[in-house]
Amino acid sequence: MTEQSKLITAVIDGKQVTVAAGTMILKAAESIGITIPVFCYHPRLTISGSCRMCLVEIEGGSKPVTACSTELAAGVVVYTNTPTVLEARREIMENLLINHPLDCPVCDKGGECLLQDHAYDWGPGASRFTERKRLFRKPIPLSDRILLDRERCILCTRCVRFCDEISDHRELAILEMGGNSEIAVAPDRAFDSQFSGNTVELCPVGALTSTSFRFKARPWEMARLPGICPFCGCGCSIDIHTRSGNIMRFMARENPAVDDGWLCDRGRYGFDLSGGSERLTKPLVRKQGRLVAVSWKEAIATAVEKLRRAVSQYGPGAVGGIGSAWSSSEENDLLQRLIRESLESHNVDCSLTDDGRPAALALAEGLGTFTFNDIDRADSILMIGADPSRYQPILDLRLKKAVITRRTPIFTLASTDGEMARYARESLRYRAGSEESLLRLLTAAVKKEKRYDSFESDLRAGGLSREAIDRGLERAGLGPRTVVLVNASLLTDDVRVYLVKELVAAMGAGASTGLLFDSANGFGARTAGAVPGYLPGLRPIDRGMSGPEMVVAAERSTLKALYILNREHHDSAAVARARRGAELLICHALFLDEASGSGDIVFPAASVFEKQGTFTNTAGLAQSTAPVLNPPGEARPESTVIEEIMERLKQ
Amino acid sequence: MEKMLFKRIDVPNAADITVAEKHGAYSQVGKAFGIKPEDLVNEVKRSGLRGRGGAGFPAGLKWELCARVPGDVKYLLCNADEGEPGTFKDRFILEQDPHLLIEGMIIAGHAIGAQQGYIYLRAEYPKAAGILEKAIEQAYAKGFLGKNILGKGVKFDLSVHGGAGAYICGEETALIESLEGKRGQPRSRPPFPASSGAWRKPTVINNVETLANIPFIVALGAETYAKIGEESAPGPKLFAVSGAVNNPGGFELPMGTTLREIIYTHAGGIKDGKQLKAVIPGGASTPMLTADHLDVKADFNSLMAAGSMLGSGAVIVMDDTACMVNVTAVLIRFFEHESCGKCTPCREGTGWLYKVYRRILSGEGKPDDVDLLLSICESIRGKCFCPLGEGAIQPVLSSIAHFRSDYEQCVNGRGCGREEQCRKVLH
Ligand SMILES: Cc1cc2nc3c(=O)[nH]c(=O)nc-3n(C[C@H](O)[C@H](O)[C@H](O)COP(=O)(O)O)c2cc1C
Ligand code: SF4
Ligand code: FES
Repeated sequence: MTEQSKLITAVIDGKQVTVAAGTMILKAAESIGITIPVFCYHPRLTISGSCRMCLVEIEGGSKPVTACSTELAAGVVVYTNTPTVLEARREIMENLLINHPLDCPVCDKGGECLLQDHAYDWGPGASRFTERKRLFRKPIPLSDRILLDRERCILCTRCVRFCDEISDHRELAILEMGGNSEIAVAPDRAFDSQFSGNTVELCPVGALTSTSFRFKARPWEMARLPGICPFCGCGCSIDIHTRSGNIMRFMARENPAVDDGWLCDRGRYGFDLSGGSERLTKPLVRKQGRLVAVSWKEAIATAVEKLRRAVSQYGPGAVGGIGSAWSSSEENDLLQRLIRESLESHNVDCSLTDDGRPAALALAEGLGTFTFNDIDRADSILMIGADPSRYQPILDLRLKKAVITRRTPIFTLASTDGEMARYARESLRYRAGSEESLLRLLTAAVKKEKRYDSFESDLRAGGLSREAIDRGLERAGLGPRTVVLVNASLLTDDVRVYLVKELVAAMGAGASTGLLFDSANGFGARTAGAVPGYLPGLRPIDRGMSGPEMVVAAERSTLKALYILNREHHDSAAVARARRGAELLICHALFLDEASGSGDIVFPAASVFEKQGTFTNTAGLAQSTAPVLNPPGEARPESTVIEEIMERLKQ
Repeated sequence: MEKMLFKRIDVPNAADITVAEKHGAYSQVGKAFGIKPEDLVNEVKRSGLRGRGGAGFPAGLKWELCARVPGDVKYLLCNADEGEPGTFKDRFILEQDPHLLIEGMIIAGHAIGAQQGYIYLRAEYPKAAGILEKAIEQAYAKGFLGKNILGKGVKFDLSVHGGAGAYICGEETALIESLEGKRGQPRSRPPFPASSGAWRKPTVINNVETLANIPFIVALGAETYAKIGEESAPGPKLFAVSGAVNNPGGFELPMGTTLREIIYTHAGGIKDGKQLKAVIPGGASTPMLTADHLDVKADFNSLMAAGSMLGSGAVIVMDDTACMVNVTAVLIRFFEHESCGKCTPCREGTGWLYKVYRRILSGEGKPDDVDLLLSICESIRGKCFCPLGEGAIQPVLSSIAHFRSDYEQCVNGRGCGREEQCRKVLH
């Protein structure tokens, strides 16, 4: 069949429309700018056809049909605005409202509610219902996070379908029948999905609310600004809703290249960074053993003078800087410039506990090329040590989508339990630490090589065998578009990087590799050069100490000065160890805690919501964010501080 | 007419396979297996057999649609949910002559290429469940079911699936959902079960009585069979007559027998010398008719022309002491209770109707209520996901159309002297 023959032409409201055969009337109408009201229909869920709000008329038809679930047939004439259609909408609205509490004044959904909007546009002016409404106790908790007001529910089943089709956690169900139907947590289940918040956003009415937002604000009081979720390596698109300097909630902002319009609960409900603590609002400098608040001028002058002194006294090698895989690429870039250009040291990394270099090497070697959309097209997926359900949740949904809608075969190899194993054709466990042998064996298996004795015994100990791997590869069926997902934190040394490279090369030209970072900018911190041995753009340069090496050196007082970005994202114990021997500890921090409080100079930082920055997600997609809030007090974005220090160091 | 469907109904112990066989059961299996499946489908098409579950869809056509879909796995489902109020016709076959149904299913399975059949049985028929289970066991033992039936290489397995007690599960797509272990709610059509039914495989779903006709079509041949009953709907028809008659029960009569003959000749006329006031010809969801309609023939087309439907063939008779507000209220209570809740108009509309009836019967009716009832029906009509809602409004619309004065007596405060009794009806 040619593409052409799959197109059909029909008429909607007098306008000709040409669409692919099989297109529903609703979508066809949408394509020519005709909007048909819906409740149960949602573009990313299967069609329910149950609310009946979308009824339209087809010329010659005996009764109205649902636009959402009726295919547009060639040559038909459809009307979306005849008296019959308008009457049908009026009737559906009247029926939907007879049992609805009409408590809009105290409903969180008020102002962004489909029921309100459709009642306004299509509903009858008054109700003729004079009987007693159906009443329910309200609200009932479905989980710690989500509440249900049953009497507001219109039983569109969007929430149920989300749990059945998207998260596949199947935690919600309809209980009872007819007018007594109610949404509930399915018997013997708990609504503890990491995606539960999506149901609140999907709910077209105020039936589902979150404890974090209930009774907090009216939709029209809030400013909405686009942002990028900063809580994992996925970088989902969000709308940040703020009111008088506070973030009230996150809502999904669909980005087909990342999130498909969903958010995980960690992201959606993670916006309160304070955990109840007070933010740092003034620069602090240690004087006679005590941190005291000083002016920015003094703080920066002190930092400049002490850094300069450290270099002149002990040499550049005694100074080091730690960026952050949770800071923007701009900040990481400035940090490495401060260390490399201004202080002429090579000691740069982005973590105190892990060597950031091997993953950078992997990127430099052309690994990490995959995009989320590759998953949609993949022939098969091989996952090594990855647990996206926990660390890159939105990727979990995309993987499930591939399995559910395309039956994409997955082969998982992991040292711990992960949800994706349930979706895999084959899932094998290996013993943590045996990754190198595992990679060798996998490559040998892909290449169908016979020689693998040297590492076989190691794997046997880990519970793996060549036979099991062969079987997994066989079941998953490697193809030209296989996607290999590797947990980036397994790349602890260069050998592993080269082994992954060899594995992927053995798979053929079309294979793509994803390095799964669990941090918001693990990818970008590396391409910004905040790792040993790489400048921005992954240009090689002399290699200084790694983060863990700096901690050891500082503890032994061979490293004298340490400059730390984004203190909250670094391991407190490592900070404490470095502190023991370091003469100078400078950090940017949001809060004064034991670790930042041990610093000699503490700069009050701006949170991720208070500054501009670029974050590169785990699929290599660079996305910029704009500030949605002002930093409190005198807190300042790190970049402006580093720039000023660098400027002064030149003088 | 010689009895066909009820041929063994009075034979003692006909549920036992040896007795049944002695009286002709399974005699057509061998013959049917000698006919090529597509010819068998054609035979049923030519017989003119129309489904006895309510809609009267041509059975042969349904089979053909399914048989034509490519695929090795197909299912044959027998709808034995018999949930339509007033209906108890299938029960006779299920309890007294289960082998007739099994024989029909074996032949149907061969015709459409299904190797697995299920009988979806009404939960309220526990007796039938035991009888069917035993009959199936016997049929297996005798080689009428299983991998190699009669040694002819035909495979057909059959089992009973107990329903969950909801009226909606008699609707074919809800039945399939329920069979699959899901909540019994209708599915969107298209796709129709013939192309994508149970477990998304091509599926034929037929009523018990429909399937019970199959052995006779094979035995008589399509031409002879088609001469029985009405040309537009040949064959025998089971009628379950209940209500104000002297001799309620199940009757096998030719399709097209008049309501008068059914009620007066076979069901013994109206009890206690009273007059007939109303008759529901095909179960609760078919519109009521009046004494003026007694000469209408009970077949699909004739009843349709008279403004009602043959439905399931459940003839419910009311005498002249019946209050139609009362009768309808009870029916609406049923539909309100059985609405599955999936779609808005049926879920909310039947609930609203029910509440209005309850108010009227409790003596608080208002003159506007009659028009309100009609208008609520309008808000349901033609807008529901499945036919349940459409069926639910039929008693309301027809009772108001024919017996508006009953309503007016109630809502205009005039009263009829039986208010005390009415108050109790819906409580
Ligand atoms: C609400 C509802 C209930 C139904 N209940 C039954 C039933 O109990 N038994 C039955 O055979 N058909 C019932 N039907 C009809 C079935 O959907 C279907 O049309 C029938 O089983 C097809 O079989 P047939 O073609 O042999 O008549 C019901 C339909 C609806 C809409
Ligand atoms: S709770 Fe909301 S999303 Fe779920 S069925 Fe009710 S109205 Fe729809
Ligand atoms: S939007 Fe079409 S039926 Fe709900």
